[in-house]
Amino acid sequence: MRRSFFLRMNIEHQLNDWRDKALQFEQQINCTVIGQNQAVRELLLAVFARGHVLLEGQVGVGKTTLLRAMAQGLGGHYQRIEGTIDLMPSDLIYYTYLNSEGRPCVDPGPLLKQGEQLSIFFFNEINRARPQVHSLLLRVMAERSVSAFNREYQMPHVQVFADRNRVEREETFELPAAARDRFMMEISIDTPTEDAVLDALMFDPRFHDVDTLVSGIDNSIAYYQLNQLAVQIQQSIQTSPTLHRYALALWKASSNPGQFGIQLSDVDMGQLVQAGSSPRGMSYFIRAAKVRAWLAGREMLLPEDMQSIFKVTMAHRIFLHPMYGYRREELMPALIEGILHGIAAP
Amino acid sequence: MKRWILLCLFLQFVSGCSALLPSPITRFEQQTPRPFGYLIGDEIQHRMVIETRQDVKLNLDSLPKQGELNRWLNLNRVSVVTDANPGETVVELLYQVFYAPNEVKMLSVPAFTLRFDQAGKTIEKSVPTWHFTLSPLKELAVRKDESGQDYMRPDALPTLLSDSKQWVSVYASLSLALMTGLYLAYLYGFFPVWPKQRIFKHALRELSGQSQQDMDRGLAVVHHAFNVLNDQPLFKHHLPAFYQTHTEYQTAAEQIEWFFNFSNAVLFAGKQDVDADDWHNLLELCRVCREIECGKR
Repeated sequence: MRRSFFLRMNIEHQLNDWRDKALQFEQQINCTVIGQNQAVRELLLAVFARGHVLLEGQVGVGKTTLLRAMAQGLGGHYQRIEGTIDLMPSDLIYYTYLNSEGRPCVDPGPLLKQGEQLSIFFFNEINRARPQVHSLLLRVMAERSVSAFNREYQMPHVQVFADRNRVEREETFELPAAARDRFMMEISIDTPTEDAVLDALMFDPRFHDVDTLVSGIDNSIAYYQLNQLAVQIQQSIQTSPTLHRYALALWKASSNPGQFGIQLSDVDMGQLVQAGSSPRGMSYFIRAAKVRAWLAGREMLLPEDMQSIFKVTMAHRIFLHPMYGYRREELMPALIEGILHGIAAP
Repeated sequence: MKRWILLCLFLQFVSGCSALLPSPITRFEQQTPRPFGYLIGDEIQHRMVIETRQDVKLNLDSLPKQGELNRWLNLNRVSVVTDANPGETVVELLYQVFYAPNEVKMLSVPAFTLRFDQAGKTIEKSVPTWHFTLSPLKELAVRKDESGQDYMRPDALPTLLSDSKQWVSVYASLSLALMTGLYLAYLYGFFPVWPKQRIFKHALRELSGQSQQDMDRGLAVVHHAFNVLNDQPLFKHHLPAFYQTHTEYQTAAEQIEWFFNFSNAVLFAGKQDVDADDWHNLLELCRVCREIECGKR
């Protein structure tokens, strides 16, 4: 009894220390990539919920810089690959070359090179890669392992950060639903709007050299402790039956919004959603919400935690009927708003 | 002698070369209407077109004065337009007769004299009397009615002027005033049966049938009341926006804040130790909100 009490106190103490570190880390990233506070917060949630992240935005808004900054802060080994149309799955696993003696050699590719110490796998312009490459990623993201050279390679700490730009659509491949569902969040990165931020981005030389900018971030988070920490966070945050009912209603509404009285203009609500969120998606959703509650210093999960991350964790895993697909950018935010404003708790 | 004759011839020659000075009034034309066929109340317009030299000006005091000229003749309007053309003056006089003759009668508009000023001198021009005949306004044969009195036949009633526009304006003003009054009454909570004014009344009624043991149910009732009031679910982090649209509830901000914190603790954090004070606070919040929705606060 006494032992378990001290154990619980110790865990609570550790979690408080980690929270301070996490908030300090967030502050550092916000100083490095300015004007993206919300995206930084969402990335932080994904890191501590151990979820993979897909970033989407226009060209040159800081997606890659943001991911590099996160990778720098998390430490561990980091691999990066650029998505191209001729990239094949084998390019991620191995590469062949002739050595100085003229003999053919095979070396591990970016996925295998760091072994279990790989903490960040950064896939730039993921939508330029072929579906075969996406398929390989499915397993890496879901199981954190890959088969090669007749054996299994484990990557228990890997977290996939991918980005894609929304401007170019030519020579790109839409991510399959299964791959999208494996990303915990799809974070939209928009151009900052505040004049002071825009002015600093233009005239402050600190932001002109990205390498120097990113290297200034302290490596304050031990990547190899994140998995255990994530488990502790998930166990420490309590949920109530009332909240369970609310989460269930949100889930059902993501599949059948019409049943919850949600209406959108010029839309047959019975046909709008082809597939709602998957169980895995809801699990990611709750995990991220719990991390938000932890960062807020609470031991209980509140509806506001769920509401604040509902869009970023749900929008990319709700699949609209093809008839409404071309209006996705207009309908999805409206649907998310409708769900959040249409379901009460209690 | 011969010299005298030459002098006379020279003077005659000089006088023959000098032109005669033109008259100050080069044209005077009085334009009058037909001099017959008038009835009582008719208007008669006289118009005078006068052309003078440039330095000759009409003395306006010489015009007849507007108003009653005699017991049956009024001068309703006097207008003078000068210099429409150089040196031209147009005078318009509008008379109205009020004589009721028993038979056709000759009357006359009185003469008057116009005066013009020219370099301190006065030039006069008389406007002659204008005669006209006036007809009686009665039937040819005078008839008697059944009681032997003179038969007086009234004219047909004139068509009334349309006043529909005025009535439309009146109705619009009344409607606007009514709507304003209703809106004010709504704001002051004078409509007890109005659904929005009964939200917390219902909530109070539901709470009165429960006790602190039903705290979850009680919290749900108050949440529901706030959701209905807000037209969508109201959460704690939406309160700033709620106060912007429902400013009257700002006065109960402290109690509402307590309610949401307490509700989070009970419904989401598993708080069990609720006491009578909490229940009392919940009822008190509901009463305060009821007073606000009635406009008493």
